[in-house]
Amino acid sequence: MSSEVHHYISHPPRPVPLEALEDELIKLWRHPEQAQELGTHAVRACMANLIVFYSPAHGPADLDKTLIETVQRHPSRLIILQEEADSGSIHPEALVSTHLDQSHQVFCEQITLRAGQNGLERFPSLVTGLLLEDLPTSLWWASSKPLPHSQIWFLETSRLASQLIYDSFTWQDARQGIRAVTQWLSSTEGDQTAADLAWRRLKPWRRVIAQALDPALVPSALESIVRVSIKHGPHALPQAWLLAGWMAHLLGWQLKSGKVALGVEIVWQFESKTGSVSVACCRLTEGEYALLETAIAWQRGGRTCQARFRADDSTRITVDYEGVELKPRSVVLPQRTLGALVARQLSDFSGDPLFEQALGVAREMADALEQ
Amino acid sequence: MAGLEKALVPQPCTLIIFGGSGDLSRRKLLPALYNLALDGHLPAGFEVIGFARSEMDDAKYRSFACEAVQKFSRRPYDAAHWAEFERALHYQTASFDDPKSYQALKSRLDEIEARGATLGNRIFYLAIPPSFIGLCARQLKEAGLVHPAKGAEQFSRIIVEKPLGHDLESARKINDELAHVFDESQIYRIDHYLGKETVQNILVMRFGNSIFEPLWDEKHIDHVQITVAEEEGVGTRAGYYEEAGALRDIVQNHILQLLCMVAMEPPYVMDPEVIRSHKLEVLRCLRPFTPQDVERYVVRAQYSAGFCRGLPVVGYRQEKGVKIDSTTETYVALRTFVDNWRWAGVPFYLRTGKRMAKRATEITVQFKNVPRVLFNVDATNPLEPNVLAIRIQPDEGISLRISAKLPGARVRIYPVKMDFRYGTTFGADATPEAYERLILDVMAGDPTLFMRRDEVEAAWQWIDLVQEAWQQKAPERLPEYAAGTWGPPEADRLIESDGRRWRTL
Repeated sequence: MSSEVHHYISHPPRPVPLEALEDELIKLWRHPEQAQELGTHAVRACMANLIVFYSPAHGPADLDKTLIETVQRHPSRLIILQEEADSGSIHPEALVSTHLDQSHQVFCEQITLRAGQNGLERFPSLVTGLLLEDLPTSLWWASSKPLPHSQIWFLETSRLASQLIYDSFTWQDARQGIRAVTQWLSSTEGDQTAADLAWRRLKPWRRVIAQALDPALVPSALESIVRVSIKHGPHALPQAWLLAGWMAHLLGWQLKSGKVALGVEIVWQFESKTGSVSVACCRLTEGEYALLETAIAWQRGGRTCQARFRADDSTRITVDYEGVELKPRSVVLPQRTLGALVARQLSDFSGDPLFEQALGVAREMADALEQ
Repeated sequence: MAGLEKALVPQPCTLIIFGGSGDLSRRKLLPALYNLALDGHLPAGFEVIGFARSEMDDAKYRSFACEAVQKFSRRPYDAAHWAEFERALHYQTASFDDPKSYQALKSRLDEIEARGATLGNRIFYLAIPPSFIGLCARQLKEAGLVHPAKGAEQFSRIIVEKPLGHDLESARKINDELAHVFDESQIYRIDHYLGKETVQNILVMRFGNSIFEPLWDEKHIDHVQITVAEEEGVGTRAGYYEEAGALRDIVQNHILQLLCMVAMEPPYVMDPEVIRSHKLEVLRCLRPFTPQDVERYVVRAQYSAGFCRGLPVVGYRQEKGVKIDSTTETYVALRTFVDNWRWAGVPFYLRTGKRMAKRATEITVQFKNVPRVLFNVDATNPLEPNVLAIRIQPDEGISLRISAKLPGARVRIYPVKMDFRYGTTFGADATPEAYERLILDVMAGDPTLFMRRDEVEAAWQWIDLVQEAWQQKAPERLPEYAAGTWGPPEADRLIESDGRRWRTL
């Protein structure tokens, strides 16, 4: 039975012996039965290879729907590596399914490889044989578990990709998560990139902060910042760190210390060219899994001025000022589904140096809490 | 008197398969003949005699062939067609060194030819080890089974399989032995790669389109990679492979033939001798290796234990029939140049290996990148160069990678592929197996896709330079690569030291 999502017809996965996978995938194109059923001619969709690591207990609830949306926006060969926590089998099993877009006659294939913990070491050799040549390859770590950056199977699989995509919103432990990513990055010899979907979600925040504190609008504000206060909902701590890391990197702040205060607030001290900067991240017990509010204070003529950025209803960010004669303004906060975010990230496979620099500062911030 | 058909067509004949009960016959030759029959390509008078050591009669051979067709035929077995086809199958038990076997074969041929349909034409297909080639040719001559090349109404042709020798000297010996019995025009040295549609399509693509040939030179091409990657290990061929190794098994024939097709000058006519002479020119332009070059630009390695498609496999030295201290290479990567005007300074990177990440044979032509202006100004993130990939197997086809603007307000450039696949475009059944085409060509007397003596010997001459350098510096152990990977790090360094990378297929 077929299910329909976003005008895509997805045929249920069917088991295929490992040794017959290649032939099966070739046959799909020679006999695209799904296309024939519809009386259309299917066109291969081939913009990328997307390897997805997923474990049902630690992954997105609606992965199938998410992936269909992803391939609809960025047609890719999907290779899903599914960890079956309860399975003791070392022999991976393979399933092949297809997604066909009715209106555009675009056809994507999906290969799902399932294995227990002991069978994970077999994934790299399977994935290697399944990648379509000449296309950028990304690995999406669709799991809330930290990257197993020292496990051979993960290193070998990630080496097949030019980009590692992850979503820090899912992390249980932000410090552990950031460390794992930065350690993986340091092992890549510079030819691979990492991308946090939380960083992509941060883009409107970065844009509105940059615009609101533009020297043409509020001269000298950026170099005289004294305090940054970030309030965020559950699971958005790494995103808050990235925002702080982004500012610290661009404004040349040096990290001095960090400490956890009151259980839900973490405070860091930076040194800017003009003095100390305090950065506080405060987790609210309620609210969206997102940044909720950021207040940036700076000194001007002995007075403290402030710009406060607030996500009012998850659709807009409103900016209001204290101490300067500027009217409040607001910008639209684009709503992007997980599938759309992943698709957008696939086209940015060459990486974002600014993200990696912000991540580097975030790592320092994480380490500072240990001291 | 000339017939009604003006094109070169398969002539009536009897095909005598030496090793008719062997693996090649079972997997390739008999299914190929069956498919040719299904397609109506076989001439009206066509008979087959299996000539091999196994004890069989005609009925048993037909049943052997039937099983082979059911298992390996490209097109499904059809009982009605089979019943018609099997009538052409015969078998003669033989000992290749026993003259009586050839007398028995002569009797069978006399009996078949007396019916008149085959016109007395004979094709001897030697699907046997090279050490038997000279012996069988001599025996055929002594038994009076070979018609002369000139002056006879009937033709006799002989097909020999690779490997033709293990070095230049042994290849010359085999060629001399063949030449004592057959004229060069009667000898068809088969390299089944040349029978593949995509390989033949290289010439069509280059010379049947106006867009490629103007770019086909050192001004526009950065480098060429030719990969023949096998997923299998040595399997049951350890005895042969231990003596041969990857260089002799694949580079000397398949890879050099592919290189010739890519690098040859435009022939002025589709004439077998012109085509083969142009290929020979490429072989003669290959830069000879010095021992120092071999050390720097040739990498050999052996596979160690690993996983292939998720299944554990043993290392080469643990394979059945392989010496525990073997130094036979299962992987070769090398860099060479075709020293002529067209290809001056363009490196050709060749690699082959067993137990690699997947089965793939591909030629890739990577064009020079655009200048570092406009869209290519970011040195840390250069545009992906254009790549023309000619996929020989599996899933034959051609793809071209180009840069395109991603939809959106900003200019973001993304590499996209224009893809042509034989199976998808022309249908699954449209692509014949290489052996089908090649057997038909022999019947038609068209040697274009077969190697001439001088080609084979030129290839060995070049390969021998590597073998000799290796023999002078025999290591106790070769570098290793884990089964299921793309080769050893030494091979990566070979190409990366030139600022390039192997393609991931």
